[in-house]
Amino acid sequence: MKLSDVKHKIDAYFNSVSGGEIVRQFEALGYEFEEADEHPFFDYELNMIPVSSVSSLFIDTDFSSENDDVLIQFRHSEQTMSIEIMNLDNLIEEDIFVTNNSNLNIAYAMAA
Amino acid sequence: MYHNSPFLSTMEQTIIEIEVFHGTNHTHFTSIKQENFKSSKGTEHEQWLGDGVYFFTKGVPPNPEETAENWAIAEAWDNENYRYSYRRYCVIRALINVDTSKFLDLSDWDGIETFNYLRNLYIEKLRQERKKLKHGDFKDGHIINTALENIGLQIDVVRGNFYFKFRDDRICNAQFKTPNCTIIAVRNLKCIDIDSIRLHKSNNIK
Repeated sequence: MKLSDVKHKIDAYFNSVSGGEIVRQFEALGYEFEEADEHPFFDYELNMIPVSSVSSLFIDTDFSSENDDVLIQFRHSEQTMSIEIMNLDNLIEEDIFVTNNSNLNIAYAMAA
Repeated sequence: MYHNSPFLSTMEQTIIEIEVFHGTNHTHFTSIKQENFKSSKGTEHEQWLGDGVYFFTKGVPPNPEETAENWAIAEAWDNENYRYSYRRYCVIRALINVDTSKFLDLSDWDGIETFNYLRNLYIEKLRQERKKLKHGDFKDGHIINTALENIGLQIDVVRGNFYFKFRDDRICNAQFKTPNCTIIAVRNLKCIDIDSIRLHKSNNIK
């Protein structure tokens, strides 16, 4: 049995069946399910940028737990780097790191 | 693929013949010879290849008749009552004939690719529902059974490499991942050539 011979049949089934029906089928076999994490890691893209290239960077995101857009602002000077997380122009959180290493990378995740 | 002998080939159909071995209680041989094997459904099979009659076949290792013998001996032990449920065992040899389009071979990339495609679609649906398993693992046999029942795939025979616990492993409570046998589940009993069923070996457990 080759996938190419049965793929159309498999695809037709999965295009028409609901996720809820699949859950019910497995529950009938004795499986028990619970809610998965609200934001599993695979919903995000990880991005890397060199800190030396950042003087001020704004990133619009939509991964806050309240489902509101969040603005992340990076600022970098010769000695410090600050990260401000803002929601509707209100500052939620601010972190300031002291660094003199301009080779550092900033990693940030965004909803895919 | 292991030990397959294509003997009929048309534009649409290729039948292969596979030699298989079944280890069991010696007293079962007569009824099997007369009435064919009986398909079984149960929790033990769910973790392997789903419903069907189970055999050992050439692959891992290349001498399946010995694997079937080891299985007959291991299965004879009644762990609840600490005694053998039968002392005389047998190894039955048979031939099965299967259309390759209805043969899911999980010892071969074609079959694995099909199974993985199915598995990933099931998992994707669960992910969309934001569901995760509360405990335990999915059983391969459930994926195969569910695919047959709900998608309507025609699968007569399934083959795969697995790790089975035989007598010494059970005594030592050993558990491994590397396969130590190639098994076949025959879902469509018409694939079994009933005239080919014969007693390969009969012996007493020492």
